[in-house]
Amino acid sequence: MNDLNAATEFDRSQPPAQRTPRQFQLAPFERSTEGGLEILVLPRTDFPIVSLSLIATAAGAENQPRNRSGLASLAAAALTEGTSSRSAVEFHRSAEALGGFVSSGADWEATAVHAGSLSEHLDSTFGLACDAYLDAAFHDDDIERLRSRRLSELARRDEDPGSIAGKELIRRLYGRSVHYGTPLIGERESLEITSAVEVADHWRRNRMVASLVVAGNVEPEHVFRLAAERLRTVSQSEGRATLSSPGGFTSEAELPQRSAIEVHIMDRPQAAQTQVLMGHVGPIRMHPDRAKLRLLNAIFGGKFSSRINLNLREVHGFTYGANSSFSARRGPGPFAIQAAIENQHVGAAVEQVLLELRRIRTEPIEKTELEDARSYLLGVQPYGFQTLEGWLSALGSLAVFDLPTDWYEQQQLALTRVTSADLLQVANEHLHPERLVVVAVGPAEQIARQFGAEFGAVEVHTLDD
Amino acid sequence: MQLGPDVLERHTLENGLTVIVQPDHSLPLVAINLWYHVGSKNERPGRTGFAHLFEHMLFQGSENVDTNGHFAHVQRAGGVANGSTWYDRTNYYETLPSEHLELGLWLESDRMGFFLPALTQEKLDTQKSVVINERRQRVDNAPYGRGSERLNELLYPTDHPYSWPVIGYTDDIEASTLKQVEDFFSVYYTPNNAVLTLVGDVEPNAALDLVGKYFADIPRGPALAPLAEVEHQSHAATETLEDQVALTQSTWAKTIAGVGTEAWYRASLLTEVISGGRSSRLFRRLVQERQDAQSVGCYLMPTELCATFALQAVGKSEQSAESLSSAVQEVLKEIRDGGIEDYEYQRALNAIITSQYEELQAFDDRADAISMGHTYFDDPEFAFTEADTFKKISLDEVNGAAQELLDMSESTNVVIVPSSGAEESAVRNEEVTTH
Repeated sequence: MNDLNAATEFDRSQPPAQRTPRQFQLAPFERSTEGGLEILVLPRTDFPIVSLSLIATAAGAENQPRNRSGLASLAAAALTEGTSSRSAVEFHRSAEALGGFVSSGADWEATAVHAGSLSEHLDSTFGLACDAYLDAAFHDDDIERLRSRRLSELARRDEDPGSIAGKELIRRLYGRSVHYGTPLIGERESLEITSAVEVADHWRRNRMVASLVVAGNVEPEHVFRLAAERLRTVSQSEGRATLSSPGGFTSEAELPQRSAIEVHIMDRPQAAQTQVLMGHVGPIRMHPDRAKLRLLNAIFGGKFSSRINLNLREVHGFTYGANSSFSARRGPGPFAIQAAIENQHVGAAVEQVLLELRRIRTEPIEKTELEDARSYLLGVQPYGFQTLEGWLSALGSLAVFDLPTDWYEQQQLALTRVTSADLLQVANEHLHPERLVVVAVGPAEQIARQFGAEFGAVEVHTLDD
Repeated sequence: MQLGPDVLERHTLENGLTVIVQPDHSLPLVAINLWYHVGSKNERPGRTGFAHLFEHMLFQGSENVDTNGHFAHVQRAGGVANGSTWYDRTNYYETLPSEHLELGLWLESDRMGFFLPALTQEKLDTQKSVVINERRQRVDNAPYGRGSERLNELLYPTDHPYSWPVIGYTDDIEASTLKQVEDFFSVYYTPNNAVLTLVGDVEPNAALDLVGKYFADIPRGPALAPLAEVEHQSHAATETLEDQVALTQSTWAKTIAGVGTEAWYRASLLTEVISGGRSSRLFRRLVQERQDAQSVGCYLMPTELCATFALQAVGKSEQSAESLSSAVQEVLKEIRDGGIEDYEYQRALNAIITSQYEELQAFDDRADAISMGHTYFDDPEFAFTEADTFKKISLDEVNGAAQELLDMSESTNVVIVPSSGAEESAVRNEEVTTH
């Protein structure tokens, strides 16, 4: 029996002694491929539930036809809007009757049907996920219903400061003619002209390369049996094809070029705060510098005690929070920095971000700061594997990006090898303050004059543009 | 892993601190979760937002931890940390590689026992600025931001502690003083007003020894008197606000008995029946079939003194508030007149059973659920058995709740409509998370 009240003499002024970090070992999972179908299974018995994703790994928005922004996302949503034998209502009633769900969605790379339930109902849940994947009906009235909701959603986003900023930044960085230059959900003009036939064609053309990812209370052999019964058409297909131009462009030379900072103010005269989003085109996900870039971003803006958050929030009190990220896509995704800034400090806040960008490119990162960021990234890795959803996400990435089975171990190892000199080198190679695009959604009359000469011309746009 | 009570230990230190430990060795992590039984309900008009501002201050260092040192220590150890403030409680939590359990206990005990020596006016001024920016981000500059703030102002009398928002009003936040921070700490941030829950890769005896080492010498605080009850009842009221939004949003609300009561559970099951999932009645009828709404849902606040039951619908583009309202009222009447079908009731129970498991997977979520069960119900196992409570509710009882709650003639209704030059703007009465 513990004596919880025994007073112990010790020195509180020092933190407990540093402990040696333990190497995190990922739980073993099964992985196999037959024809166009890859299967990954993580058995886990502690809860009687199971989750799965059936992923068309080449059916993302980067593979949709040009001038059809939003098509892949619309097609993905249509998968769970009715099959040849069930209406949307009947489909979801079947999926949800026993406490489970089936949903669907697309991102830049892939389209997936997700499902989850108690593990005792796996067979029926899996069957419904396959129905959605193989037998979606794409009826005109289902597409019209989705189109109508999406047009309303676009209208909603047109009044949301974060959405306004995001849409403007990618438009400036990529131009509207390539996929990465428009939002995943699409734009009004393209959604209005996209037909049900085009939606069905996109899906049927791209669904035959698939990965089935299952995590939870299930034996791998059972999953293999289920797949053999229902996904034979996929496993007998030819397999993977390489996408030649992820993002809708083959070279960055096709994108808008700039050699100076640009500032775009989206005028909202009544705004109580200014949403600031700035960035430039960044590296591809599979860039060999990936581990170095993760560390660089953690230090710059990827964690609470990052440089820009401490600067803008804790030192200056300009914002509730600032952060940065490299968008990890097959093609060159954006590097972006975002913060909602008090109106009278927008210029000063952007200047501080520029200072931090220049500082990280010129001053070597000290050992303590590097080690803190490294131990943070290494330490938090198990955190993502607490839930079945976390496992699906991790295994889904292996499938979508065609990564080796020991990818996460490789990444850990790569993190341990990064030096301060490496970070200086990647900061110079991948961070470009000299051609930053700054988007500020706020009251132009108040914020435009806060940008000094170094920002060049400041363009003010009304939101009807 | 077992979910049964035999693997969950609860102890109380002489200073009143409750400690609960649940070992789970499936990952090399430990979740440290600390609930203080104080929230915005302990504020008073003119001093709103103080509990949340105080939560920010508790991340500003203590006698042995530097300003911003809390996050720096946790992140350096490979962990994550945060806190959140709610009407009834404030929580603080870290998830760390389990070899760093002692670090987490050192950090939490230092701010429970030795916070005041590190307090400065400069820190308070900076955090006021951060919190006011947080309010602008979540409320003043967010579409629909003033909606549920205004709803609660109308729904509850002005002296009722749920009538003001957790994040508080800007003037009140600006007026906060160091003396108020000191007093608040001395009254509410005491071991006898807290529960510390540890879930994860720990050995209970060793973990309890460390808890004793770091917390046993923190002195007990004053006993707290229960809050005086403020009379209130659901009443009819309607207000229309203009905001810089594209789609009309309408929210109807009533008050019912607080979390954990039979009436609250019946309302909670009704909420799942009519708005959980895409086959639920509200989604199916209003979004899928009639296409009168862009989205629709119910929510029920898990609050102690009483609870807000609300139904919120967002119209399609160009849809008027009147047509949205009449569509919603027609479907509610269908439910009241025709009753809930048995398959709808069974689906909701099955969804609750599945989600109980889903919500207990992550160590931090489980630790938080254990702290909640202890704080509100003196039952740390509450989250492991809650589905059984739902199963005892009959279909007739859910239909009874529907008769009472879905008649919106006596509800408080806040409508937000598009305006070209909006003056009003957002809050959802969600918990306020600091970082």
